[in-house]
Amino acid sequence: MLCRDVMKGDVRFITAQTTVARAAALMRDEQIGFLPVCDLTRNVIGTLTDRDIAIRVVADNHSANESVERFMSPGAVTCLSDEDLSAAQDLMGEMQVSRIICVGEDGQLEGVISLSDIAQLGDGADATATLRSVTVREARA
Amino acid sequence: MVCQDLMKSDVKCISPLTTLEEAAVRMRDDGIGFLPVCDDVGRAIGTITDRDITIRAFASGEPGSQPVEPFMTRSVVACRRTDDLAYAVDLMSQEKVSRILCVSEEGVLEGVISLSDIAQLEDGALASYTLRNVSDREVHA
Repeated sequence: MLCRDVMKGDVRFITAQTTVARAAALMRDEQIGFLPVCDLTRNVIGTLTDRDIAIRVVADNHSANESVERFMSPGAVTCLSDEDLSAAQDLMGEMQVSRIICVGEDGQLEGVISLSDIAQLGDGADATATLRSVTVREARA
Repeated sequence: MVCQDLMKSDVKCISPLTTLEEAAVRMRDDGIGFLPVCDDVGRAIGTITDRDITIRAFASGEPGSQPVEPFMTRSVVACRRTDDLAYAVDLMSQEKVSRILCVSEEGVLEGVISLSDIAQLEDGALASYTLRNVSDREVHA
């Protein structure tokens, strides 16, 4: 199975200049917790999560009108959309992330695979293995 | 296996009057994404996550100086420390939550069990069952 077969393709993304307020509203309205940050050519330059906003913006009392650039995690864990899913799972475990960004040959954003997407697959043992190796911030007490 | 065999008992709770900013600081400093909210005798009356702070408060322009009370989740999913772990897992699946509180007869908070605690168990089937049954929102993309 290829990453392309599992990834969600209609991914919302923001730019480094998007305000934190806009990013938070987008997460609320789209019921997501994660946004890729892209440059003008749709190359992924960072990621921003709902947690990043809580612990980097709210915790330090920053203004909602600041751009996401200084609060995002720069860089991203990516794989090729045409790669085998098992390679993506290995990378998620290795890099301790619960989501991986799928890109095309040109490096442009094409989709995202999350741990819950893997959990929905038939093989529950697979997802459990990934969950065990990932530090799942969302699932930590 | 009963719940007290697995629960983390060094759980810190916050008061309903704790501010959003204070809660976010606590989450950042302790590396957690979830805080039980307890009344002055230690009874669990709600929970708040990093996502709640971002989605329910920050996204609506609420200042971090506000108390967490209006933004917390009021329905507490809880079990007793002497309950069988399978019961807790069923309840987590049913209620689609990735954490369950262990409380005393009087409702006083004694511990927390998270999905990742269950994933660490030898019984992988139990973990994958739980993982497949918790909502997308909890392990969201």
